[in-house]
Amino acid sequence: MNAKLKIALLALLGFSTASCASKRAAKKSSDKEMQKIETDTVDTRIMLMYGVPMPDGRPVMIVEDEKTMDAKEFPDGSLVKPISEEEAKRLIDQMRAEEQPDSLDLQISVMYGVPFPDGEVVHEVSESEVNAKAFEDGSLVKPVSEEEAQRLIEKMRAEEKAEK
Amino acid sequence: MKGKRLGLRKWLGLKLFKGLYDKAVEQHELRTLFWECTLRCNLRCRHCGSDCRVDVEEQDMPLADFLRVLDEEVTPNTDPSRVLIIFSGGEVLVRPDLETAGHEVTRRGYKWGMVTNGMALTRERLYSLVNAGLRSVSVSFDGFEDAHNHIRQNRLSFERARDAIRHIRSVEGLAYDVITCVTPAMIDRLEEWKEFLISEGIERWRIFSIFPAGRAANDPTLHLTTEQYRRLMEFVRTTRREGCIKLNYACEGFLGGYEAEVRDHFYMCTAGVSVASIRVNGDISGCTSVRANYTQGNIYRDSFWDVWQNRFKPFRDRAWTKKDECEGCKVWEFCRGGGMHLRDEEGKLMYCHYNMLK
Repeated sequence: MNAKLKIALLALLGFSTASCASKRAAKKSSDKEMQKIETDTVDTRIMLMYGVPMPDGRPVMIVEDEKTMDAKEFPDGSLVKPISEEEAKRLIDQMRAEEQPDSLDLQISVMYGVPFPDGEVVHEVSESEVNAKAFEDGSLVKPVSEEEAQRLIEKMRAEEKAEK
Repeated sequence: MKGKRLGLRKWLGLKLFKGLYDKAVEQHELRTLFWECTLRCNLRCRHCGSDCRVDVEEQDMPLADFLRVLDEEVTPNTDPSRVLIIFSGGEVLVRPDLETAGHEVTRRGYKWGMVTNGMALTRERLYSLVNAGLRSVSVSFDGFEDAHNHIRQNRLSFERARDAIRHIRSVEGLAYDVITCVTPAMIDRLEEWKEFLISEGIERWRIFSIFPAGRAANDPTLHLTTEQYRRLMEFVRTTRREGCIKLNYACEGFLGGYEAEVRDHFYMCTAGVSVASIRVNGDISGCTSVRANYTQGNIYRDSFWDVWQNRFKPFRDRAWTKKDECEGCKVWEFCRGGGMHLRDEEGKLMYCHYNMLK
């Protein structure tokens, strides 16, 4: 029995969603805010435990896009909005200030013998990232050097130690 | 209340589906590729299957190494538009080059998505990722503030996750869902939680329950009792029938009478069949939920495509699972020994969902 017949029989039994695929064309629009129109096959996939839903091919459009107004346009037309160093620093400071572990959390962390996470965003935007350059092929390359990575890890360790 | 028993209609459906599964195994078309790009995390969740932490010994995989595999092994052998790449961790947002990674993957014709705890997903970061090609995102959201913050061990985590979801909802066309890991603390509040998610405008919801791996293995307070598990199944079934929110139970295991009623599809473990993962150290395996050592190769030693085509035997031929409690089980032909993530290093089944249903 071939696969198509099996799918048809499954549908007859009322299990039509067990395996199916359909096509959906992206709607045409003159909306200037629309950044991209995609046409794609929509396929039902097994929902994996740590997977993500399959994109359904609809055009992706930021509804509240005032934040991207000042984004820079790179040669390939993509918009990239890096966070400024000041903004990143401000957010990190804000999180640190907010993150005073309460007594319940402290007790639990002691019970399990592990440090309490300080809620810090591990990623701090470095100057090299902010100044990322677009290359001729349009790709944006923001490498973090090994030294920079090492520095960040050491900083995290030192802060964790200080927290303890 | 449904239980283990299969009716005739469902039994026939499963028989037909079994043939489709065999076909999928035979073809083993790569459809989902996880890239475990980091094991670092800005949280330390009690139930973490990966045992992630802020300070990990394992360095992040350099982006160039992953792109090399795509360029030399995956792209020449697949249609990139049919392969979904999922950035997973750890917490992917701790990687400073995520936008670059997304941009490079998109440029090669792949769609990509990510799973996040939402802690660091500001509006600006989200928009930046969307502009780098992000098309799907899943956010972990484990319950009301007390329950979520308890399990995440951070008193800001609920608020951050909720804000992240609100930002995501401001991007039209971006596929998303929220994932709730149901623990005993939430089982009595599921109805209320559902109402909350609906009131937040969330349309897609995924539920899973704890399986004994990583840190969760050592915390019995996270595990549902048989009674609680059955209540969970009933809740999922009823909610799906109501149709107010699109709810799916994750691909945990075969569920007897609940098959096709708590998920959109019949049970099938696709790890190593259509799903592969590249771990942070270069190991090649099935889905990232498989924490025991079923590594099939390593990108630094082996050809990824050769491994995908010619290895993965334990994933594609599950006859070896027909032992212990699975030996003689009358639904093995549909279940095939449960999910690969439920097998320990020795191949023993750690948890049988079917047996939880009396």
